[in-house]
Amino acid sequence: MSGAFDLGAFVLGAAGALIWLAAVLVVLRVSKRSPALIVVLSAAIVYLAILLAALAIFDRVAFWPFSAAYGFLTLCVLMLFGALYKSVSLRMLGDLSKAAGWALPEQELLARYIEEDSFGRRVAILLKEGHAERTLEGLTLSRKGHRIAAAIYRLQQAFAIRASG
Amino acid sequence: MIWHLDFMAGAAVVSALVAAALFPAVLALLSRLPKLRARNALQFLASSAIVVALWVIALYFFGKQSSAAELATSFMILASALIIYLEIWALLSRGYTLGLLLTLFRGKQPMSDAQLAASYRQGEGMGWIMRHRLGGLLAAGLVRRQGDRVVLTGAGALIGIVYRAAVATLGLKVTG
Repeated sequence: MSGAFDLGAFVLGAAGALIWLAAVLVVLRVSKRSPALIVVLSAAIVYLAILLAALAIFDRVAFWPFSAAYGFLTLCVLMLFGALYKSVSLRMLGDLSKAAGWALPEQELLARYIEEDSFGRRVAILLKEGHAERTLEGLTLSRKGHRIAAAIYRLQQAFAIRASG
Repeated sequence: MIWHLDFMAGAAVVSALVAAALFPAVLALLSRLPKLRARNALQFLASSAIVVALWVIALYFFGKQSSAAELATSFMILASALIIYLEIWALLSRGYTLGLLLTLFRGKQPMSDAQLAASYRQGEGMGWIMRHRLGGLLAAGLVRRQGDRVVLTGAGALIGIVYRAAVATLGLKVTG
């Protein structure tokens, strides 16, 4: 691999990551689909689009430097996005920073932010995604939910993880 | 080469790919050590350190001819793999929604919302997640207790404000 050849691939990968970030910022505002789905799916689509465009324009494209640069930069952003989107701890800090005197009663945090809001929303996600069903007896796993839960349980066993949450 | 796509991988790139492929096996082994039992973050950190050390050793022996660009590519491949593993590991060991799914799975019978909340994390209940996350924030010095209230420290307030700005920038309507 030549240095200039690799450098070009790095720049292409970095430019691709920037294009993806710009696209995500726009699509997140206009689309009503799941934000997690938007960021992951768009990362794959932009990667393929940039790669195909580069192949059409340049004589050669170095796969590894291009993919490494694009993958590394997008994954760094995805990691931050995941924290912003799902972290209970960060949300607590955000909510506390809005409160008068940056303080809230502990019980209010527990009841309002965790048990009612986050819990209810997560149950709604399980129902919406078809992982659980609401029956007369209460919440129960659907066949799909059971299959996923069994796979996750086996994975946890393989890595000796006792419980998640 | 397929079309104009150059897949040529030097020793540095191969070293990163092998190190990344070894990670799950190293993590599975470490997670069974009695001293690391139930310490998920430490298990991941130790596994990462071992894999990075193996990668450096491989580069020392096989990557002497590698250019700076190849070494940078190698680093980014390994770092990307570790980020992917971290995301999966965090989901498995800290996933809130996944925890609810597994509570229903372990329960083996329909549950009301109240029963699900009480059975969460093998009977520790929904309050556990609050205590756990709050404990983490207290230990990190981002919040402090003042009587029955939780108060942000300066660092916590800065992170909270940056967090809200980032959520607004991304246009996220619902988080946490």
